[in-house]
Amino acid sequence: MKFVLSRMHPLACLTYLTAVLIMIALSRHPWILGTQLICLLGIDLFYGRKVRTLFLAAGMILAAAICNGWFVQRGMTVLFTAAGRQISLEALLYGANAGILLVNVCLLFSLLNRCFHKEHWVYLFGTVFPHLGVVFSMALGLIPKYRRQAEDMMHARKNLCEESAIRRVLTVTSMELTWVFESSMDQLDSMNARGYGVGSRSHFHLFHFGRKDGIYLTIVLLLFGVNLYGYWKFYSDFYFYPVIQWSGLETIDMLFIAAAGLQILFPAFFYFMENFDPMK
Amino acid sequence: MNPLIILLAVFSCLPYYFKYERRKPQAREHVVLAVMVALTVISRTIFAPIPGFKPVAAMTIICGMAFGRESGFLCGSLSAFVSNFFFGHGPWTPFQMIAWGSIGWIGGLLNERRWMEKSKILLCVYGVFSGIWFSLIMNCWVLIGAGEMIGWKAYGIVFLTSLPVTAEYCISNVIFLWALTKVFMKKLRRVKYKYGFYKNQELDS
Repeated sequence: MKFVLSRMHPLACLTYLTAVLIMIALSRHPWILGTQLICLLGIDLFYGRKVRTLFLAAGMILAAAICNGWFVQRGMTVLFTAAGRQISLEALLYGANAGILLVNVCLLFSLLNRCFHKEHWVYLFGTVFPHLGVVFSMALGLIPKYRRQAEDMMHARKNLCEESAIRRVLTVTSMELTWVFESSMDQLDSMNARGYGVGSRSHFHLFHFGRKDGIYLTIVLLLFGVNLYGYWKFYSDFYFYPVIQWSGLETIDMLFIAAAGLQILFPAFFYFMENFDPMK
Repeated sequence: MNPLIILLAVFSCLPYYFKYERRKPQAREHVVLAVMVALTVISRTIFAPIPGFKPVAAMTIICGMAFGRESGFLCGSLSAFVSNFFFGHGPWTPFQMIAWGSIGWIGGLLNERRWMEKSKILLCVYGVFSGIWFSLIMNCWVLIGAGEMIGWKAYGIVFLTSLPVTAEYCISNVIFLWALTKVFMKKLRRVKYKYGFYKNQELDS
């Protein structure tokens, strides 16, 4: 799935991530939140293969539950009293629900870190903001260059004279600063010499919006629409206080839970379709 | 606190970017901005082992002081974005962008009449203020998991727990501003002169 997402056109990929973020942000209903949590955790475990994530997520949810249980006194079902505070089941569950929300957001961003790389951002940023896109890609290119230069200067200085480490760092910082701006002057000259700013500018990229990206984008928007409808019609409210009103699980709920899961997991189907060809 | 504020934070940066685009800036402005962003990101990565103790705010303030509030904002917000390619993007990224951007912007505003350059006390006071301001904004994303107790109470609790880190931000800002401003401003003034960024009245003073 990571590979499917990172190979997709950045627009389709970012639409997918934003749609999931919006759905996570809106969701209040434990079923939907739980589905999202399971799907995102599944993806994270599949790629990260770190059980530590599970403990971290459980810890965050537990912390949110305890905090909410301690501070909010609105629930009816009192479990126990500690230091004069009544800890109620509803407050604990509400806190856990909010904790799941936070974990979902964090997991989604970890997916973004895995599949959305610098070149994706440079492409999108450069398309929307042509001038700032140049600044952005230039800065990304300059960082390793400056680092190398600073290391070279550090080595040279070390062999050149005896001095304390702090003094060396200060001297190298000063030298680096001068060198950085002098070299940027060369860069500016070379940009001007190559005709920067004359006429429109195209930037190098490897992305092509193909048929597959079109299908992908359509599915993303469709599922987003279905989930948004489900949220608006059924899941916009869930009352924890004073007593949790838990209606049974009906067929329609199952459908929307499936849609919520599918919205997150469907790139995985593309991945399996590509990798497991039954004809092979 | 609704996670939609993450999107809100993203969108609040955009008007300034569009403003920069519409101005049709020259190539030299791009280069200087890119250099300042790269330097800020490097300064953050150098101090990566010490959490919270970063010269980013100081660098952004210096950029704002030297090249004006617009460059300060862009330097702050872009450095947050770029540096998180090394530190990992998360729900905190848009808040860092807003926080550092605004710190650079106010830094530029305060130095329009060279107040900050002339008075080291003002510089340090602003360093402390920017540490607190950064902490106040960064506390927002933690509140996503705050659940029912939204509002000033939860915000107050989060702020109280973040007080040690806030103090660290303030101290690091003051130290870096104290140490770097004089050297940087001297060099940047020369750069501005070479690039032809100076206005005539500035040259006289």
